[in-house]
Amino acid sequence: MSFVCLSSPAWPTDAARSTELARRSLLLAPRIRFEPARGVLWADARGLDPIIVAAGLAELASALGADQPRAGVAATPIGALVAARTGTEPITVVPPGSDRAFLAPLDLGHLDPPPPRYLYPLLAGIGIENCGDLARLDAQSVEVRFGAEGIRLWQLARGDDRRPIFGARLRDLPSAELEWVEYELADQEQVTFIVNSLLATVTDQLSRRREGAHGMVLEFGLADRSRIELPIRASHPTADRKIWLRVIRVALEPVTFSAPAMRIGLRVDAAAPLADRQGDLFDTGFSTERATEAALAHLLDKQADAIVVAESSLHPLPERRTAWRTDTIGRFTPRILPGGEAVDARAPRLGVQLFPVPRSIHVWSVMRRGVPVPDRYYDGTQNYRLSASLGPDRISGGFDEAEYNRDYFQGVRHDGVMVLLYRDRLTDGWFLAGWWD
Amino acid sequence: MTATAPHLPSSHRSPERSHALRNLLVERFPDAVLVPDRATPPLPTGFPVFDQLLPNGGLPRGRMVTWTSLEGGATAVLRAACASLLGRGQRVAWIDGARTIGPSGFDGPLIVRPADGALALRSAEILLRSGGFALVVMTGCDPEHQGMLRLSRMVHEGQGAFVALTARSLTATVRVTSRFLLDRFRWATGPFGDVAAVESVAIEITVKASGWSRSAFLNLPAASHELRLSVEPGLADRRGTLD
Repeated sequence: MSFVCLSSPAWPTDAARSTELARRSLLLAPRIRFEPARGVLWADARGLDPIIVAAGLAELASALGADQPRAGVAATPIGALVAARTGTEPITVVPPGSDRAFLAPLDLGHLDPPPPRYLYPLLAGIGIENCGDLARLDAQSVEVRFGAEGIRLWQLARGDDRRPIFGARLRDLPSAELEWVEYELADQEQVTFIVNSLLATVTDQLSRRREGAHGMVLEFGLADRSRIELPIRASHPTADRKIWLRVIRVALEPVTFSAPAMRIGLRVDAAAPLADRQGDLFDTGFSTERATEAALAHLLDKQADAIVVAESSLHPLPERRTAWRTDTIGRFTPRILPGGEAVDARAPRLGVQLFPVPRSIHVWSVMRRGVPVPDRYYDGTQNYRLSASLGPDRISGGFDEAEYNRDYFQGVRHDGVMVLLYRDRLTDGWFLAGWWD
Repeated sequence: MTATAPHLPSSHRSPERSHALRNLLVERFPDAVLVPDRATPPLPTGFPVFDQLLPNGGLPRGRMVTWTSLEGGATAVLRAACASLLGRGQRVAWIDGARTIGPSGFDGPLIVRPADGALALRSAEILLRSGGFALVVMTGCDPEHQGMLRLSRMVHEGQGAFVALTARSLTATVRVTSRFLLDRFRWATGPFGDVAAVESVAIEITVKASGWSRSAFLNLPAASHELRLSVEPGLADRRGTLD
């Protein structure tokens, strides 16, 4: 029995007494719904003694001016409501499981909401006089004869009422705040000090609940009466105070306030349980998985785009062939290089390393079949003689500003290091693109 | 009085003799523990030539390894080691401090591309300290003495293997150097008889540790930088504008 319904033909209508009724009702039950237009007050009595709740509410309503309040207690809303409206005693209790039997002898008009007018002749036409008559029918025959409204009425007559009376219960997430009037905070270090103490309260609450926060909101009340909300996100749910302090410090760094802070609040915006995952006996990395995840989260807190995955394309320019996508998952898959050749990554193979930006170099070239071929180059620090220069591989394309036209050479230096050089034919400049390693 | 160990000719250093010597020591001194057995087992890279060069047959766990030749095939060898470890289900991280991984890509390890050298160093510390990675490779970052000391402490704490491609090797337990051997390169010739491509290169790798110095030669194929569109590999790949 979880629903208590208090019904009265005349409720106090002034705001002061209605507010007082709601306030004092909350002392008796955690969730209350007051519907003065329908003349009822609902109380959620789950986990409580419903008789005590009902008696308390009836007494309270009488004290505040309600006329002859009657309470109904039942496992369903419709049972409690009908019991409150039809009961002759101050409290009418419908025993659990007997809602249908309780409703059976009653007229259909006692249901709430009552049947629409057009249904009465149809119901009377087949001899249905009370709730019990309707409840005995099966759903198909009710639907065929009376439609959707008939089904709704049939469910209520059977004591099947799934209306959400109280709505979803709001999740109570940890929060802490501090307000002061004697002084004003303008120094960020002082702000961080207070945030740290608030964080201790919040993370302690999270730890007790075995939960980790995904996100928090930092609220600042300023001396000029303005309010600033700073949403903060962590890469994974955690209750670790050190991690949150680090993230908050980073988030606070670029923030400037228009006036000194007079109030600081910190509340958890989203939280998830810190459940222990089931392990695999044959997974060698399971024992270090949590430490690894924490390390990656720490890394991402330092630099959000630090972990990347390569996405290769067939762009002719080497520096544009690989795009780096931010990701947190490392995978090993056999890779197919452009050209369709499957490469076993476990066999060592020299690959091209590229400078982030090609370096401008000075090249001394010799002519070979009418093309200037690099013979030696100076990179700003040292002269390098090239034992061999292979090429050119002429690559051109693009339009307007994106146009490129290059002669690539694979040079082998006198120390054996292979370098990738190119001559930009549009500007006639030489560049060092990378080296083989 | 000091005793000098007799210098054994190479023929006397056979595995059979080592095994016999070990058995003899175990028989004579049953309570004694061999130094290699006392240490944390090393991490074999799965690349036999390289493993044989390393003391105890693998990368030391909890110790720093530095590869001081930045242009000597280090990346190729370490990438192969990473791939092999990944194939065995180990976690591997590659910190690309200078952001130089090229167009041939690099699939498998956790790739970290920090914004600057300080973040690269911090990333290495975080990953090493976690102990969740069998091998962490750091390239493109040349930490100062204090940074090297911090890295050493973190490696010791996490007990993973760590290889840093850096010119400094002050706190390293194992030092690796490598160089290209130009006279051993294999060249492919074109249709006109001139050199058209480098087929493979030769490198010499030297590993030094306390009481340890070994070298080996390796031949490595070289991947081309270009996308060849020509179906016939012997034909010239003609694209773009020609004068």
